[in-house]
Amino acid sequence: MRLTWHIVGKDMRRFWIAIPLLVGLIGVKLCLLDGVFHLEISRDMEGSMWRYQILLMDAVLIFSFFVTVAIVQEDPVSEPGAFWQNLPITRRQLLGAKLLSVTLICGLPAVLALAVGWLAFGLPANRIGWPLAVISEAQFASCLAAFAFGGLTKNVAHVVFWIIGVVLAFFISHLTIEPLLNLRSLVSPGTHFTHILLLNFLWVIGCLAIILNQYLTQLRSRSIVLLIAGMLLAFYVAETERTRFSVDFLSVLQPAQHELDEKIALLSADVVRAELVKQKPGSDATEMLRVSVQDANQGLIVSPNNYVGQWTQSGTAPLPVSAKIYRVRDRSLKRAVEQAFGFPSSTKTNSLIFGAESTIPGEDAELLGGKSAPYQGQIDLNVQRAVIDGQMGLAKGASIRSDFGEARIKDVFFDKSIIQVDVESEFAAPTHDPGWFDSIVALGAPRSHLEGALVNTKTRTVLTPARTSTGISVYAYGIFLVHAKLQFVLSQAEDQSSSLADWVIVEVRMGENHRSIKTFKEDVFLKVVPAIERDAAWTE
Amino acid sequence: MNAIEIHNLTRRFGRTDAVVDLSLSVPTGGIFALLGPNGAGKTTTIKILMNLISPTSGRASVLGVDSTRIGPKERAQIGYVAENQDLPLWMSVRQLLDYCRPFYPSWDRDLERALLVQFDLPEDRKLKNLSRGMLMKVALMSALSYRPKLLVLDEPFSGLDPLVRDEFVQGILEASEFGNWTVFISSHDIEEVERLADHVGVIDGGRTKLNESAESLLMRFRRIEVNLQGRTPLLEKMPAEWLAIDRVGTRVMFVDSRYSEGTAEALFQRHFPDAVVTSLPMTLREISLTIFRSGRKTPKGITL
Repeated sequence: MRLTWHIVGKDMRRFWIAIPLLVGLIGVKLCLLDGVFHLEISRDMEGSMWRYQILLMDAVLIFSFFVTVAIVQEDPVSEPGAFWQNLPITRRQLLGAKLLSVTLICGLPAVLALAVGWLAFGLPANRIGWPLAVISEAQFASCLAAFAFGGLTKNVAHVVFWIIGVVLAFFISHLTIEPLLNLRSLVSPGTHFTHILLLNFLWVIGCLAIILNQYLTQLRSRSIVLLIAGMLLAFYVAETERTRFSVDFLSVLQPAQHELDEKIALLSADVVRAELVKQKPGSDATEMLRVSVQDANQGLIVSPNNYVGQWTQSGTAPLPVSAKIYRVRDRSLKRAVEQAFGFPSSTKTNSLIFGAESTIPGEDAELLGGKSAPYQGQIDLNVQRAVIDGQMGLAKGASIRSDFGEARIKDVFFDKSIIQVDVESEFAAPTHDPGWFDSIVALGAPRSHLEGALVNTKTRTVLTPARTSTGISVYAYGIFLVHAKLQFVLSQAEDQSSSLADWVIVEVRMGENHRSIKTFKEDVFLKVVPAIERDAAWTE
Repeated sequence: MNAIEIHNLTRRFGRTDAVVDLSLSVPTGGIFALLGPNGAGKTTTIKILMNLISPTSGRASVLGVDSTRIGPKERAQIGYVAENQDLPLWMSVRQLLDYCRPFYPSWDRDLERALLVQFDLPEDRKLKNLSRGMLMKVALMSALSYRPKLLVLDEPFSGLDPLVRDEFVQGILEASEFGNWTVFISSHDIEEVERLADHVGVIDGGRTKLNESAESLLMRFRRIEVNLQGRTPLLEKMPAEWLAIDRVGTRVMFVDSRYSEGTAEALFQRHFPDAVVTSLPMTLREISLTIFRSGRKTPKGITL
């Protein structure tokens, strides 16, 4: 053990500079996060701080990766000739020393950052320490891979070369093998969460196997075989979560979407119109923004990004006003589901209504309230394909397993005018967000991920959740837990004839930017509409 | 007991045979030179001896321990300096010595100080700022300071200029005065080794060509010149031990690899009656070159 620590001491002398650098990176990240949660700051600044802390997380991971590679390659094991091989030490001792060095150099800074935060700024661990578990977890994954690649190679250039090789191998396999398998990415038999766990497990076991083999034997070729085997297994696991789904609506959706591609290409700026409407004058500070997108009705979902920026009064200089908006109700979801099930569409225009959040500062609210002249602004809209994860009958215990997780019906209430479905969902969301938090969500599930719609297979009608639907979302380390009460208001005709057995609930995925077919960044004009325009389903 | 024993050692890399059925023995004490051209299998042999790679077949023992079982205990008794030795270049000479010292219970601080003076090494200079010759000296010094029983040097002169080579050889000779160790030195640079070696092994194409003491080797190899005094030489049925046979006019030249005074004279008389025969001693370099050449394809136009 004495010699092991002697090697660790040498590594610490060599790489001590990494410790203050990592302390700095982690410390600034923690302070930014703390600022986001505890400081009274503008939304713009909050957004910037959030983005910067994510960038810092990336920096911590990349830096830790290359520091680990350097520590490992200080005493390389990939081929004979290294200086340590002259020394009377075992490979096991060297492995132990390297593990200790990496742990100390990459792990100690998190603790030091806490100490600096407390001693210098009076920030206690219970206030800034909560993201450390996530940082350590991500660092562990990064350093483990770095350890394996560092052990297999001679220098950093080789490591970069190997990483590019591995990524390319996955990419090419994905491009070449997946079409041959004719897999559809809509539905999976197992949850994405389970697959994520399995992939994480493969990552850890694969890296450990390579490290142990590389250090305890002289068989580098076996390490390469282990790497290739691990990659094949990971590819297999990643691909097997997608399998053919046999529900009929897919056959309807597929050709319709081909046709849509052509139509989407014809979408242009001037089809987007927005107008401000008041939903409940005098009783609700929330202002409604209606956006219509013509000719984008088939199987598509149009959704706004979170922020409306740079609203200006016509004829005046731009005013940097931002307001958080959220989707209250739009017909694109309904239409997407109708299209997926092959139901006839009633109109060719998608009307979206967004709510400008009532908590916006008074000054901004007045601007958006449109009490003076019309205002001009910019809005980001994503046009996306509807991805229907699956369907389930309205029965207690029914469930849908999708790419990202599982939704299960806890209870169903039916009083002839409203169907209420209590749903519990658990799904993985690959994200940098550390720690945990909870929030109340308006529509039962985070807008950007999942939506539910009710489909009457007999009368061929589709209902989307009423505004009275509520939900609570708890986020913890990459997993969302959502408890939602989805309420669907029945029309009078359905009220008379419906029975629960006629309805199924479908889960629609939407709002993920990478699925966007087209992104609008459009100028829109706001004007006051004196009368309230209500959707039939709103009149709860 | 021999310091190193190698029996029928073979090492294959894919389809290439680096070492084939190699057998050698290195007596304890003295300096053993393993000679061979580039690609002869010297470094592979040493890596097997140091347990850095495993043999495909055969076995080797170092200081009485099977080479595949050489561990920290044995390595603490073996000094190893290789061509292109990887050293931690960010360290200074002093830091390197401080780093190496705790690994060896037998580390001799007095010897370390004496070698520092003898090799004239700047203690505080970073290794990355040292010349190649100085780096080799540092490596040699760190390998000598713990008084190893066996010192293994793999191509130590490679890339060194003549002056540094001379200093290095001188260093090895002077260092040998500090202890009674066995030195195993591999090189293709025969002239430098000639000054050092007590015992010589020659390998070529991974196979053993020779393994005996330098003294005996110098005794039994002779360059022979035969003057036939006007007659045409008949070069048929020559003994197998006569190597590199050449003819210029009425003179015949060859190397007798089994020369022994008395018996050789009789043999010459039988093959070349009435001829004037002159025998000349050879250097180790000449002997080695003769062995390497005789093992290869005879050039066209020369008839043995």
